[in-house]
Amino acid sequence: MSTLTFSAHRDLLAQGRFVRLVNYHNTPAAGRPALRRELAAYREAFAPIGLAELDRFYATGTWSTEQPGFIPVFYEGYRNSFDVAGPLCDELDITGWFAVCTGFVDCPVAEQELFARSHWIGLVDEEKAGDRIAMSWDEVADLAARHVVYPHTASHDGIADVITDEDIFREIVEPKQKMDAVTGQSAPAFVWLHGSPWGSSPRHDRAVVEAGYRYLFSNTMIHRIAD
Amino acid sequence: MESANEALDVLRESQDRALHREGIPMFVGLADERPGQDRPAPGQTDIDRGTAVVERMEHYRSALAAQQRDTDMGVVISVLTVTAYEDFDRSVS
Repeated sequence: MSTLTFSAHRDLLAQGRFVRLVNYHNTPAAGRPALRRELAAYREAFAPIGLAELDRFYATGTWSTEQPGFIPVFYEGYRNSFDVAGPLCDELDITGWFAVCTGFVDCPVAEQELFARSHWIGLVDEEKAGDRIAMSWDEVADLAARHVVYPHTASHDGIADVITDEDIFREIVEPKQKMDAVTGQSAPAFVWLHGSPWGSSPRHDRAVVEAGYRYLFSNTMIHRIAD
Repeated sequence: MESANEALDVLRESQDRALHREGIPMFVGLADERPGQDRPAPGQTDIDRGTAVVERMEHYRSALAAQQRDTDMGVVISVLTVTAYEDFDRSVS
């Protein structure tokens, strides 16, 4: 198990076992030009990494491109991840990684702002008109055809919020079942609120593996946890 | 060599942003937690690139957090954040 220390991170990077990643949350329409400029600049400097490429690195220790790789991650399952970030990734030939809170997707439109405000999902002014602000399941499926889509729990929960077996099913197991049902794929990764790493809790680690995930994304590592 | 104040300025710049709607650059380690897995060695190019990143990590660690414990993951995140912020800015400019 990886040690959660500065030294361990330094050693991983010194061995060449690292990747550049950019974490995005809200990508409102008003910010589209700035996001496009930023992603285009990254696309010039770095090679986008898709799931097959990440798998390849773990299998061989090598990347298929000379350019350093990068992974843009779009969190929460905002509607504007589909409306703004997804199309920009398509246009720029970037693989986006979309970490979706499935409870946000399931939430009735009239309660989505309340859900967001109750679960650490930040909103901007253009999302306060009462319209749908979460992705729909059809949009999740559409993104999954070209990008990587995976659960970020159902309720944007952290490990400390997931206590009972019922919690584990709702926040870890069911999100994958629902996502897989609409995408026809096996969601490859999982990420906790706050990006808690592998090794934080053996019980929760076991539940994530048993649910069928192959990767756990954390704040400072991507953990390969199953074949 | 940048001063500690200069390093602190970059740290502030990297963190005092509208993080809910701006991209947050990061370096993440690629760890393999599968038991009994061989871990194929990356090539020299990746090692060289990693060595260059580690040099900047060590710089920020010594400038900003020399007295902090090795096990403080909050510090690890801050050091990786400021290192990545600087790296992305340099890489795309």
